[in-house]
Amino acid sequence: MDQAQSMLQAEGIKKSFGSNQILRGVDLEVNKGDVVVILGPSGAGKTTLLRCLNFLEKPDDGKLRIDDLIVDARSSKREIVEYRRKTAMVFQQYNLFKNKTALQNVMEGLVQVQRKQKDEAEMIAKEYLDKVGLHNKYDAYPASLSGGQQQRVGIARALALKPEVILFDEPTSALDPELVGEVLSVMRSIAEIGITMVVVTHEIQFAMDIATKVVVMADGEVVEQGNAKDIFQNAKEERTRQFLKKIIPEYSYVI
Amino acid sequence: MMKFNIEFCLKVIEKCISAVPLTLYLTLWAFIFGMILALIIALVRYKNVPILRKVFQLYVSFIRGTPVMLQLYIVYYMIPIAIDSVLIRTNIAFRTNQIEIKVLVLIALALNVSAYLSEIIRGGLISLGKGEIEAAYSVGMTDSMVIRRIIIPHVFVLCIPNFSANLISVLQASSLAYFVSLREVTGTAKIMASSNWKYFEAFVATGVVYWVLTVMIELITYLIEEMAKRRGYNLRKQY
Repeated sequence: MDQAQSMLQAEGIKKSFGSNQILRGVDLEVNKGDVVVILGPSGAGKTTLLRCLNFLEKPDDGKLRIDDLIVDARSSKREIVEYRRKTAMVFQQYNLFKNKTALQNVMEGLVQVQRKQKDEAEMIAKEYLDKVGLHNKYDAYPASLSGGQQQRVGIARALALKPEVILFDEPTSALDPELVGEVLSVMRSIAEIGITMVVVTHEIQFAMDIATKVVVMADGEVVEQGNAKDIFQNAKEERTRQFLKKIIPEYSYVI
Repeated sequence: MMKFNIEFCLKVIEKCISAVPLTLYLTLWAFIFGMILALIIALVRYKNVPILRKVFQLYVSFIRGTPVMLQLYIVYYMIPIAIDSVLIRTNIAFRTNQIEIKVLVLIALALNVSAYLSEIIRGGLISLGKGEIEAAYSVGMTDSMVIRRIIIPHVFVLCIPNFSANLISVLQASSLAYFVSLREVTGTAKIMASSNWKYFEAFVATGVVYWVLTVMIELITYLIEEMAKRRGYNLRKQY
């Protein structure tokens, strides 16, 4: 793989909560335009890894790099904020600012963090809300939106910041089944325009369709990684096969 | 059999109304300064700042564990003596007797209410879900932006009912100012009663005045809550 393209790199990420070691030294490499899907059984440390990539959890050990900016557990607050501004996150529970309208949710980061003028920020925010299909919900408060709509606002909020990479933490897990489709289709469309994404999900079909790279985690480690075809059809590791068997009922026939 | 002298009572009410500005001055300024101090205390304790956290913990415990009356006396008698004994050794001409009594009273009330408010704010901080704070960090906000843009607006709205209750407490506590000779509502009534010993009528009169003021605070609280609701805050549901 072309090293020059490497955009985000995690090296030896370790994280414990008390005596419970969640991540046992994880390496991850994401290239520009990649859609990396992280799969694995629950408790594997997928979400923790993603949160470390955004520094919402501070890794105990290991290094993170985006472009030329390297941060680790000893980095100053300012470096961490700078690092974070290169990333954006979409949360399982949407985590919208509840006292702000859809438009204000998207504008908040643009105005406060990127110091854009209000009218410019409003234009950008509307553009991205249109992109996720919410052109008629600018002034709606989160409480009056469906889960799918809220998550689309969350995606617009992340996209509008034009980060190097968007991290998706189980973006459809909290949604009613009939609302999953609308969020996935928005994610598909942004994957197609070349946005770099790291996605923790249980949507296997989604992973098969759009992942440029699939990472399988178990017990706080990366078990196996490769393109979707390699993982789903020629998994080398027993733990990967075990996991796939559990989530894809017809998996044994695929082989 | 003593008869309730309604005429005198009305006269006291009339006189007390002219003392309302002083009572409101004490109440509102004490509340505002108390709020600022409370916010600092609550954030220090919420963020677990070493040493300071322990100091404030002791402070809150002391203030909540002793009567306002004692705190008023400490601020009124003890602290000025302590300060003057230091000042006298310097060539600073300032002496604490230049401080107006009402300022000392409002300091005492502010210190008192700050302890209670800090616990309310701390409760609000704890009940505020981590989700929005994390979202704020994830869009790249610094600590101070998160406090300014997310924590304060949210927690303050969540705490409106409790704040209102405390403002009312400060209003009632301000009546203690008459112990240090201030002529606010209670002080005024007491002076009028001391000439004819009709203390009951006089204190009933103050009751009427305080009650009306309290109802006004409740009304303002209601209006603020309605305003917050229109701005998307959901006051019925705790996040």
